[in-house]
Amino acid sequence: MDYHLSPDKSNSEEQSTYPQLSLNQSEEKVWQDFTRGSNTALSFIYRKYADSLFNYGMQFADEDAVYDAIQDLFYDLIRNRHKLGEAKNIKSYLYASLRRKILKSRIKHKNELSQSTVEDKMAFKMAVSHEDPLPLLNVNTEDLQLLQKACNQLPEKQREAIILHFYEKMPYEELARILKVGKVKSARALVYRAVENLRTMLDGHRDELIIVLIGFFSFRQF
Amino acid sequence: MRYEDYTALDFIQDDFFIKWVLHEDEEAGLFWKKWMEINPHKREELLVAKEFINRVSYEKPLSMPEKDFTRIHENLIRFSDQHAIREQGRWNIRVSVISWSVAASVLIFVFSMLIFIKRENTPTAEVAIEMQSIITPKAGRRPVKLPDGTMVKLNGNSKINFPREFKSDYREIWLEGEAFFEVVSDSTKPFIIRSEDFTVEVVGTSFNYRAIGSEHQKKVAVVSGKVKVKSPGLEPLLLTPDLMAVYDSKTKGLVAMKFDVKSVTSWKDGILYFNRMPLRAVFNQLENWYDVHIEVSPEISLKDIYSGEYQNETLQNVLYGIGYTSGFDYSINGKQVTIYKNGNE
Repeated sequence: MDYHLSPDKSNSEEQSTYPQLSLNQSEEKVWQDFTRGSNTALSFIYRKYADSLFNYGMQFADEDAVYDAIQDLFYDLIRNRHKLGEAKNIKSYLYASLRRKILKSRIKHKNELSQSTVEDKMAFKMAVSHEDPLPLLNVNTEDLQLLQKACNQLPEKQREAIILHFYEKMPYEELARILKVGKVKSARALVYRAVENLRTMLDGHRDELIIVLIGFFSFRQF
Repeated sequence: MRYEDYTALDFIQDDFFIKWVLHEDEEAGLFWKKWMEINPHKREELLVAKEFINRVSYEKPLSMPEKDFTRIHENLIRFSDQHAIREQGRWNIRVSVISWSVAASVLIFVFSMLIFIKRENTPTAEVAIEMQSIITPKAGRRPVKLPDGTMVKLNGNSKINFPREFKSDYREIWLEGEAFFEVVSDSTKPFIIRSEDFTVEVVGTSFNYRAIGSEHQKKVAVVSGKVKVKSPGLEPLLLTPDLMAVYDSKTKGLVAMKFDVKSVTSWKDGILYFNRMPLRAVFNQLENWYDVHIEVSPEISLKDIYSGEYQNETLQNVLYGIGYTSGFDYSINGKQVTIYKNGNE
């Protein structure tokens, strides 16, 4: 049985496509087959989400911890596959579980982490791209640096909220689930606060600057 | 606040706007394009907001190094296989093939899943597989565990053959008599039951199957769930629980009939169940159940109907119970039982 497995992992074109947000027909079938024991379905799910999970995990932990967490996450799925219900949203489920596992292991290894590691690993650190896709508008290096600084002054959780919402395309319900904020409106409030913070931090500069610069920044992780 | 007063930062927080930009919703798209036409002064804000959302990305998408990706992948598959063996779900399959003492050969099926029946027993290739054989004497019910974990309750006077290991693409066993199966589900390896006259292949859940070789009629009774019956050359039949498919080899037809689940399957719980059964059949059952020989005095009418239920009772108690309502006395001498009319001796 073939589920149109994604092309080679090394295919860079695949990487630039934004991952789909909600389940379409074929994914429901894949998930169902997985719960019934299909290894093909398992492989499909792994291949589809491993890289983006890795990407996400690397925001708050080092390679080894992320590998362990990803493997562990799938082990749990395999162990409980018969009990799993319909997949309402595989992606956010995986993200939420990964996040929980990584944070748990972080608490465990808190004493082992050196101070420097903790500092270097500022999660969801942002960088402002130097590319200029909107030549009509005037932007200089100083403006970009200012924006970068403002973004990195946002609390970690707000940065994460922004990236999950806009890059990973998670709607607020899923955001709430992943960030464990209880209510959907709390997730919404996070994004709102982030954006308002940016607005405040950049206040006093031309409105145009704010608008344009925000359009330029991207996130970089270490 | 109205859309007309929105700045770019407001747009990026608007759900409907996001629906268009992030989720490519058609309806939303139509709205926003129209709205832009009506409000050209807002066009730039809109586009910047759109640009922002689209440009939010990882600067360098991180990707797992090939070797780690593969290593984890292999671990997962291995874990999945190991786990499958330990924790697979079980199907409840009761298989009953009953032979009547009438001349015509009849197969009765009630299935809970898709079953394929081949009338002739196509001989399989001769392969040197180590086979295990378990035979039960009359009254000798016992459990058997198959190499894949499937649990079998073998009834008395039955025989089951199976390989030490299910190596090929299917799990095949030979049955003569009656058994209740709780089959470990494995959609990759169908479970096949062979008997002298036919083959039953289980692709799904539960059914009852019983095959007693020497007699002329064969019944396959299967239970629970909805089932499709297929037989080569015949129209498939859809069944629900308590329906049996009756296959008549003479007329070569497949027909659905009601049947009493309890009478067919109660044995596995040690229950003797008689539901409006003629005494002849009652005594027959008792003979098999207790491994005795019953001789009935000619004054007793074997056509008399009896109904009753006994669980794990001794032969004496059962005979006493039946005799009480049916009006006979009995005597037991080792394996010899004699039934005679009340008052006589």
